[in-house]
Amino acid sequence: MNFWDLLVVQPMTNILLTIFGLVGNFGIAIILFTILIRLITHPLMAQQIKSSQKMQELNSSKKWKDIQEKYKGDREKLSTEQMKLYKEMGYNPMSGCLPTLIQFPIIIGLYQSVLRALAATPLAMLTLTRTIYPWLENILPRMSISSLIPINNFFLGMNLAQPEWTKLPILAISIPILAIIVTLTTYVQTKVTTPSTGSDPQSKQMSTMMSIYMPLLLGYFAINFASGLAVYFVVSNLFGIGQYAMMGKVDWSNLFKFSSGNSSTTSKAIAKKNK
Amino acid sequence: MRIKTVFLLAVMLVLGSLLTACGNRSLASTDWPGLTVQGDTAYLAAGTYVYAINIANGQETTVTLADKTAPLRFPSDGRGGPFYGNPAFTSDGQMIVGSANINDRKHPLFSANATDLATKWIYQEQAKDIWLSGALILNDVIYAPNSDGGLYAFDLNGSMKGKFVAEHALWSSPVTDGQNIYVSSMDHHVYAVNPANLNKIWGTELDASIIASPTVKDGRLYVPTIGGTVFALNAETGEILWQKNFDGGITGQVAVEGDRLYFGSEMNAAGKVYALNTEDGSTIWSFDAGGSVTSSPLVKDNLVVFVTETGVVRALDLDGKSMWQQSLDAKLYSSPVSAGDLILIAPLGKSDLMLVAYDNTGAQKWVFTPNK
Repeated sequence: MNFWDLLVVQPMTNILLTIFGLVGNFGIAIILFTILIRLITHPLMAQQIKSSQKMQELNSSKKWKDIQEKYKGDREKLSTEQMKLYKEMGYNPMSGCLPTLIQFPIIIGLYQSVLRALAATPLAMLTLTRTIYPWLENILPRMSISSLIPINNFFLGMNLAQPEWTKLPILAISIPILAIIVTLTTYVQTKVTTPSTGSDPQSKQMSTMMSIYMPLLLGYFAINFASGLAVYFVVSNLFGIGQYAMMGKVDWSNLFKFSSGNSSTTSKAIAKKNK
Repeated sequence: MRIKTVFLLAVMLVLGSLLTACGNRSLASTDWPGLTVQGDTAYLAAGTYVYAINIANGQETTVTLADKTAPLRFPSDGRGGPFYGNPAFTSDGQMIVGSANINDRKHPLFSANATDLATKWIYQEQAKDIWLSGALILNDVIYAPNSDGGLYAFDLNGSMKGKFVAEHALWSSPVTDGQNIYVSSMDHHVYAVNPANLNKIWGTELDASIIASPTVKDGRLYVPTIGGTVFALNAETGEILWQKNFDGGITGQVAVEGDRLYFGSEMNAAGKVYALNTEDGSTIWSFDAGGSVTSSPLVKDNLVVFVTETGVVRALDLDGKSMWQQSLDAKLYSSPVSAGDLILIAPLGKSDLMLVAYDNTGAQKWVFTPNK
């Protein structure tokens, strides 16, 4: 077992399986596990939100715009002045990246642990049995290999180890309902939680592209890979929206704005505040 | 702006690759190769293709079409797999093999002519999951186990005749004593099934899931579980005659020869090979294998040949004394298979080392590497 497995995937898989051992339903276990991981990483996410909020305010400030205008022909000088302004305003540009960087391996680990637990072949099952901590069954008898395996992969009529396609009785065709939900929730999450990027047109266009490509990418995964992952994507998206909403950072007005040229109400408000 | 778009797409692709590649073992189903010897050809189901290999020289069988010579593989276009189950052969020359593509909505079971590997028929109507293990052919009926728990019966034209359904996946091939069919399931049960109507005759619950096929001999079934227990059952009634527990799980089929049964245990460096008395399950000897033994030993020419996950091929005599050993730079999960005077070993996932042949002294005779 490599370090990544030992430090990230194995502990997370054991947490997931312990939840499964307690609730007895793998779909619910994925949901609870995703929520648990999102709660644990909430402080990081909160810091990231605060940081982007600060950056947003900075971008809309008069000083920032003046610098942009003054040094638009001199990239090096512009960069130096921007750094000066960061210092002056007490903003650390790394404070936005760091929480994301820390969250990233956790998200990858969560994803991999869901896949590992959905062992669909004898070889994958062998890996899974070696991942389970042997001492866990002394604490929780349900955590023995004999009790845990086979894991019932069915949840709401779906086989969580396979892509989901629901047959519509009226039209006699199958459609990937879960993948559609993944695409929609990812779109909503990207739109309502992406901070408005002030007057910078390039950043705006990046945000717009992100809100198009990211839902399509995750939707593609959901169509082609185990539906257990799709459940994780949906829960993660919904919980993410909830986290932003609790912090008052959801901007529903962004939801139906498709043009990169539109500025959000938030950015307008900030600009007004800065005047 | 175009650079930024390309950058963003690249970031997403990297993210996607990380997400998928890091977990690729589960996304694209991977398993150990299946191997069947039929006449003078070894059929190796190892991922995208089933390869046909001449046992005499380890060369891939070729076919000449329109003055062009190409390797004989199934499927010729490389689509429909991967394949991992031992290919099964019918009396009229069909090769039966199922797809293990977990990301596909359809789960086809293929029939191909064994001589030219051209597809004869495909069944995919009712199967809800992948085909991981080989079919049993009995009285010109094909009994194919599926991961949806179904044991599907077909005639030689691919028409479904019936189905037995277990509560969970069937990951091992069914076996027969000529009267009944016996199949083990991940649902902790071993079942006896009537081959005529696919009705359950009996089902006995054991201590854990079963990945290995049962072994039937002299009115008894020997069944190992991943809980590390070997069970002996009365084949007629399903009654447990004896059971013995060992350290580590047992994932390979038990080999029976005379009044002894041989099997290996899966427990990393502490893996062992055991010889038990068939009568009462008492241990005759055990051998420290030095690595996990996940597959069935081969008993041949008074040798017990087994492989370890760490790449060791070893032969013991019937008293558990080491006779020879060879090492391969690969992981070994598939059972050694006898082919005339040779012992064939199918490593996992090595494109330059897909099948290796040894004689019974441990001398390597040939290595199969597919033509590009």
